[in-house]
Amino acid sequence: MNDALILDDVSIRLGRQVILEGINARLAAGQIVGLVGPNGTGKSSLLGAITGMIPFKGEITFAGRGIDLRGVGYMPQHAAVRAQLSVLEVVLLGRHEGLGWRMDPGLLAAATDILADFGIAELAPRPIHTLSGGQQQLVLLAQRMLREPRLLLLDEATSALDLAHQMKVFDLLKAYVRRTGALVMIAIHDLNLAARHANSVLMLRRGGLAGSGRFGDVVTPSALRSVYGVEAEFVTGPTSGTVVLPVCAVA
Amino acid sequence: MSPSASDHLGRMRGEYRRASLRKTAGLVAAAGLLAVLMLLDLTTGPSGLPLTDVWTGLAAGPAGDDRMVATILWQLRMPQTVMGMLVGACLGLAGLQMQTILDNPLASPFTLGFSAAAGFGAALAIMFGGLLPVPGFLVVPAAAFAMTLVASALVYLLATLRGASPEILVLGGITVSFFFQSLQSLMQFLASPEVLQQIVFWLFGSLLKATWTSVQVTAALLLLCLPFVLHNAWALTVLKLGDANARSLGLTVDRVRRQTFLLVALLTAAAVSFVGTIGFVGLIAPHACRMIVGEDHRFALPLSAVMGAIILVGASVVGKIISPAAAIPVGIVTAIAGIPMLFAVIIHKGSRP
Repeated sequence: MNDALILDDVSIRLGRQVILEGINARLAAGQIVGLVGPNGTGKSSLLGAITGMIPFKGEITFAGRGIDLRGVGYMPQHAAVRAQLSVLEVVLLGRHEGLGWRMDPGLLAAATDILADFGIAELAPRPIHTLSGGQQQLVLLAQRMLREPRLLLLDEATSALDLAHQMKVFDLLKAYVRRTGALVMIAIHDLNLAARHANSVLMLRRGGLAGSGRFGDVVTPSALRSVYGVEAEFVTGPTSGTVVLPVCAVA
Repeated sequence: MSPSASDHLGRMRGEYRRASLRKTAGLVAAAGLLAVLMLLDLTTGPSGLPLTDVWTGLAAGPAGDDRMVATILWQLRMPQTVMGMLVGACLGLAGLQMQTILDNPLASPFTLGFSAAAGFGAALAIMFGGLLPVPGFLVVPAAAFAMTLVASALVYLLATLRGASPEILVLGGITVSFFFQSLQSLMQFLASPEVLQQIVFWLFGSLLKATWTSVQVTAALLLLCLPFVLHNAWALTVLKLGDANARSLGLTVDRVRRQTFLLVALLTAAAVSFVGTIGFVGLIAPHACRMIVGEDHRFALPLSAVMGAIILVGASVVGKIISPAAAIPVGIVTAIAGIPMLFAVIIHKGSRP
């Protein structure tokens, strides 16, 4: 499994404003990477650039090739879905490129399996527009997983979920990575979720990369001070692992 | 997998299949209703033909022995009925596609100024068509058709330059609409009273203008567009998830919007060129269809076409029943009947979570 996402001197500009500059990283497949950083540091822009939807300078490759959205599962930040479609219909659209006039029974089975895995089988016939924000987020994530992508890019995919569903989603992502050897990159604000579930993190600061590697090496008290402007305590428990407790803003 | 989990999966799949069957049944029922309405439309008219005569007339064909029945049925009523069905189908299809690409339930085939352009083209032809060495019955539809395509080309150009977002399309459409509305008003201002009357009658939208030639042209245009429209069924369904989701699923949103826009222009031009502008069908039909089958466009596109045809043929029947001697133009019937329907749609929307 030598696949890797390689960012080679990537820069993103919005007009004359520099969003990110000189990003270099090599992220091996078969892991969950947490993309962290304060608001406005370009987490969404970086994910957009990886998908090719946002123009950038430099080179981005996955498994040695340029990235084609058709082979990628990308979930942008949540926007409410108002369509008059059932949850199952929405999940099936994850594979819209291959859908024909008649529904493929194999695909229908795969879609229902995923809904069951997510624990939302009872929602299958419900119209998507009647679901809460968190439920919609689960459905759209299930939809992206149906694509069985080798590269799964998630932008705040767990932001509207309760604790139990956050756990569930990360368990599913871990199982997916184990089963397929895919690379999952998730932009996330909750550092404790990143600490617990991500195999490595990529931390952005204003204008560039603050660090990448194992959580404990990148997310340190001094990094939180300089990047987030926050004093924090790190507590390590026997079962919880490292927990970050923000104490106060840096004076 | 435990037995209860596999039961659950089986239930989900069964539910999906049953829902698909229900949608197909809805489509078949709507087609049946359309057939009944078309038959009813053939029986109504100034000379009152009973159903039995219609049956025998239909069975005997255009060369039937009863010349009067054959002429009324095959030369006068049938082209109007078939035209009503075709125009309604074009407007229903165009309306659903327009509402989908603009992500706006109040959009219609005329939102982007096509009716104003067609009206201007017709007015121009009515005033100056006599100067051209072309048969009169062809000049007006040809001009209306051409002008609709000019309007769509203007909006399309804007969408190509600035991206085909709903905002750009609507802004461009409103500009084009005002432009052609003003030109149409100018024509009416300059026209003599007789010509003005002709222009106003064209603008009403009436099936009385239908002939077998116009039926053939409209049918050919509809058949030309249909494969492309149906080919995009899944893409349009994905578009309903919103631009960000659709793009992230690998859909080239701008291209789908521009393609669909061109199809809408062609279908609308086909619908209005021969019979004039008929409002509200393209607005109401998609709503009626969504209530029955939702927004899986595999079902919604055909049903919206059938719904459009039902509304138009139904309006024709009502127009002829209210005023048998001089059938009220369907354009007027659909506009009057459309207002309460539109109110119902808005209230229904408002009550939804």
